[in-house]
Amino acid sequence: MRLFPAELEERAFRCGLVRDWKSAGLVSAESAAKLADSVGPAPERAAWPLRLVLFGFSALCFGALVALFLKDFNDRAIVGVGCLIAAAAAIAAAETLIRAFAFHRHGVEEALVASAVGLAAFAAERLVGRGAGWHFSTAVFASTLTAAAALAYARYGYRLAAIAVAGGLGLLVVAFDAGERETRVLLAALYAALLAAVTLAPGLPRRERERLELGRFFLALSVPLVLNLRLEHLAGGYDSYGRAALDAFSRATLAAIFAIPAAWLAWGLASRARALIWAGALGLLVAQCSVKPYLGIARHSWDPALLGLELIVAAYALKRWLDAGPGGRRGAYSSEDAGGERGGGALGLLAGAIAAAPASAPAGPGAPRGHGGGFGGGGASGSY
Amino acid sequence: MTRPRLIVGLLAAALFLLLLGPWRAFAQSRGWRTGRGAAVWFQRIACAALGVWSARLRRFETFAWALVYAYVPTLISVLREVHDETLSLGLVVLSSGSVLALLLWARARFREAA
Repeated sequence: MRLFPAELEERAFRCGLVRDWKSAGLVSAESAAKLADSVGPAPERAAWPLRLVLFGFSALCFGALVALFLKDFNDRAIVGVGCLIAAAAAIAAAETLIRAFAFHRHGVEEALVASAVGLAAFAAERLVGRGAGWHFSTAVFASTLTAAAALAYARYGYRLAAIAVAGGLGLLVVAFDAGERETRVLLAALYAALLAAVTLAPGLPRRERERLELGRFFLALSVPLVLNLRLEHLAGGYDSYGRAALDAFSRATLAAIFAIPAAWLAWGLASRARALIWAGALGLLVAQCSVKPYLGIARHSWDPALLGLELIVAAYALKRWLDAGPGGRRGAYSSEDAGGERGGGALGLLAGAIAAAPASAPAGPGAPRGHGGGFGGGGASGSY
Repeated sequence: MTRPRLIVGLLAAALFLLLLGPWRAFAQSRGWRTGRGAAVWFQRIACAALGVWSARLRRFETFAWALVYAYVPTLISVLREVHDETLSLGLVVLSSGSVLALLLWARARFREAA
């Protein structure tokens, strides 16, 4: 099913790991070159800023082209068939680029696949949901989007397709229109179940798990966000919404938007999962900003400054606490930059690097710097 | 595109925005008409110079930044003037396709791991 050979995917993954270790300062340039030689030539791919630009231009060009051809048609069936033809053309173009021109994560072919998924969902809505109510049309659109995105992930392995699967399922839940509160709870349960499924899925290759980390981040972050009843008020002004008595559901969601990110944070720290740590920290930040809207307390213009001050104090206290541990570490965590000059920065990353290295690698890391603990876990990179 | 080069690109954009303000103040003090059009032309000239310079030195990242910075405001200003839907969509298709092709060509031509 997967278009890219497993060997190519594995090689790309290992080349990425070597790049990460080098940029994190775990291995010297010479050792990185030796490791890269042992892994093999890296498949050509665009760096993420260029990939983003190419994705944007490709999506703009193809979207405008489809709109240009279909703008004069009003009949739903004709528009639906036209969208299906355009989706097929996009897939054909993407397959040609990948097979004939060896495009591998260049942005262009990803935009074509993403356009095809969206067009297929829109075509199904036009063709099947003819004259039906909003719920049915949305359900058709969402279920087709989910199915098409799942196929795209199985075929191409794009992260965006995995996220689209979760988005499509969420839209399907919204289409049931079970009431606002019930929908929120259903969405939270769905995303939590998906997170558990992605985390506990057996037999996934390591590169596949790394690829799904972004999806895990969005799923984990979405659970407290959909339960947050005052999320839309965060972007508003500083007006008071008036004190109102919180009912049991509001109190429960207020507790949940703190408890769930805290649980993600604890889980992420225990399992050294960067996606969960980020999702937990961001979720807690959003939860704290939601307290005043929840309780109907007037916000002030100096609230963001206080929040910034609080974050500075929290970061300083965390650093002091980490530094006070034996060897300047607390378990696998240290306040030092991974790969820094001082000791204590890179052992955790190095452990992950060694664990992920190919079994037949002839040359190990030559001169890793640092002697302490850092962020570890599979393929962790960058610095904290 | 390496991180330092990305930072250089962003700094170039910030520098452009910083220079735009004094230029407009200077032009206004002289009584010259400066509106959105003048800013866009100033940006086009700056981006064209940057594009030629980066093409000569085969610096793909700088070339790509210059191209994108020039294209987006130019397209917006053109679309403001064009009120025909077919012409607007046709312009978007042709121009974005051309920029896409130019980026891919330059990337292969400059032989840099962008």
